[in-house]
Amino acid sequence: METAISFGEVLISLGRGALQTFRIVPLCVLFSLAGGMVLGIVQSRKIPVIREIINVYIVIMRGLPPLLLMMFFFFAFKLSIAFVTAVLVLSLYHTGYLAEIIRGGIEAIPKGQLEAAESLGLSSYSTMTKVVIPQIWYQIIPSLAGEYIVLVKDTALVSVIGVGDIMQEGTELMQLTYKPFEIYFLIGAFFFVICFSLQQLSGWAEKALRSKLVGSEGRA
Amino acid sequence: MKGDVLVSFDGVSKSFGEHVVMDDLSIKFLEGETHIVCGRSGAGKSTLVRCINYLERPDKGKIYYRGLEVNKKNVREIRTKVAMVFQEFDLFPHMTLLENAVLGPVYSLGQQRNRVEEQAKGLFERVGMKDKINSYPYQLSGGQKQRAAIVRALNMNPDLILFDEPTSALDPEMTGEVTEVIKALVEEGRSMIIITHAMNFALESSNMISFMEAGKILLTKTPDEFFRNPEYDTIRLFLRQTLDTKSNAEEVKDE
Repeated sequence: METAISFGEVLISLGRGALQTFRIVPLCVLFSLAGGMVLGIVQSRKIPVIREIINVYIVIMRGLPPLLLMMFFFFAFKLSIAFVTAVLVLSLYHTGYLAEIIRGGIEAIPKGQLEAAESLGLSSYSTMTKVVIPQIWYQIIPSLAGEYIVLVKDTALVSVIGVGDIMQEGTELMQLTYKPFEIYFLIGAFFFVICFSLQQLSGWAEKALRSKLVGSEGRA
Repeated sequence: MKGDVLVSFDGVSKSFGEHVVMDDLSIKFLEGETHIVCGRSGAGKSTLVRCINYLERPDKGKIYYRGLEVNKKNVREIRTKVAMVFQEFDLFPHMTLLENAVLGPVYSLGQQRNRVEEQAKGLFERVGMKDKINSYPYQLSGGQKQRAAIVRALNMNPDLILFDEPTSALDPEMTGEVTEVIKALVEEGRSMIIITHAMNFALESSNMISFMEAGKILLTKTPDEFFRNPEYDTIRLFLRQTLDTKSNAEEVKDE
C-alpha cells in the first residue's frame, strides 16, 4: 500500500474495530438468549393476554429492519451512548426470533415426557429446568446457530450510530488509503471466519447432543 | 391398612368430543390389591388410571385418593404417593437411568440425593439392571426401558402404582421380563392398578379384575370367578381372543 499507513497499522486499526464486535456479540447472545428463553417459555404456556402481548412484540421485531430500529432508538429515544444502543437494539431484535425458536423447541418435546415429569410430582419449574429445557437444545441448535450468525453479521450495522466497530474503522481506513478492495476483503474475511466457525461449532454441538440423546446411529 | 379403600370413583364421566370414555363410572380400588382393568381398545381404561393422578380431568363426578379429592389443589400431594408406569416408558432421554430414578425423589419429595441413589441402585439390582445404571435410555431394549421405568416409579416409595398397558409396546420375548418384575411386586402385596390385555398375567397375578366397556365397569370379580363365570358374552369373547394358551381359553365356558 503506497500510503502513509502501513499494513501493520491497518491490521491494528481493524483489530481495534473487531474488538468492539467481540464485545457486542457475547452481550447480545447473553441478553437475547435470556429474553428469548423467558418469552419462549411464557409463550409455550399459552397464557391468554400475555401471549397476545408477546405476539405483538415478536411481530414488530420480525417486521422491522434492525438498521431502522437502531436509528430509531439512537435518534428518536435519544439513547446517547452508541454502544449501549447497539447492544440493546440487537438484543431486543434477536430476542423476538429466539422466543419463537425456543417456543418451537419446547412444543416439540413429546407429551409423554411432560406427563412422566408431572406424574413424579415435579413442579412446573422443575419440569421446565430438569426435563424440558435440557432436551430442547438438540432440536434448536441449528436454528440458534443460524440466528447468531445473523447477529454477528448485524453488528456491521452499528457503525451507522457511531460505534467504532470494524466497519467504521474500515470506512476511515478506506478514506485514508483509497484501497476499498483490500480493506473490505479483510473485513469480509473477518466476518467469514467468525460465521464459518459458528457453523462448525453448531454442527459439532448438534452431533454431540444427538449421540447423547439418541445414540450415534440415531436410534430412539 | 390392607383392604381399606385407596381410590374411589364416584359417578365419574369424561368425554373427548363426542366420544364418551367414562360414563357415570363408580368403582373402588383397595389397599394391598393388584387390580387389573381390562377391556377392548377405546373402552376408557387408560383414561380411568390417568384420572387418578390428574393427567386427565373428569367432566363430572369425583375421585378420591384415601378420602382426599383428586383435584388441582391436591394433585401434587397425590402424585408424590401415586406413581405411574407408562406404555411408552417415557424415560427422560438426556439422563442416565440412575438420574431418571433419582429426579422425582430429589426434586419432588426433597429427599437427599445420596440416600435415594443408594435406594435406586438396590432397586436396579432387584430388576437385574445393576450394570445399566449409567446407561442412557437409547442404549436399552424395550424390556429394559420398562424395567427402568418401574424402578423410577418404585424409587418414589409410592403407596399405589398405576400401570398403563406396561407390556403393550414390547415384543413378546421382552414382555416376560417385565411381567416377572410386576409379579414380584404383586407378591410383596403392593397396591397396584394395572391396565392390560395380558389376561394370562391377570389370571395368575391379580386379586381383582374389572372389565370395562363403553365407559362403564361391566364386571368386577376375583380372577377365579371372573374366568369361571364372565357373565357377559362380550367378556367371554374378549377372553377367548386374549388368552394365549389353549387350556386357559377352554376354561372360559359358554353358558
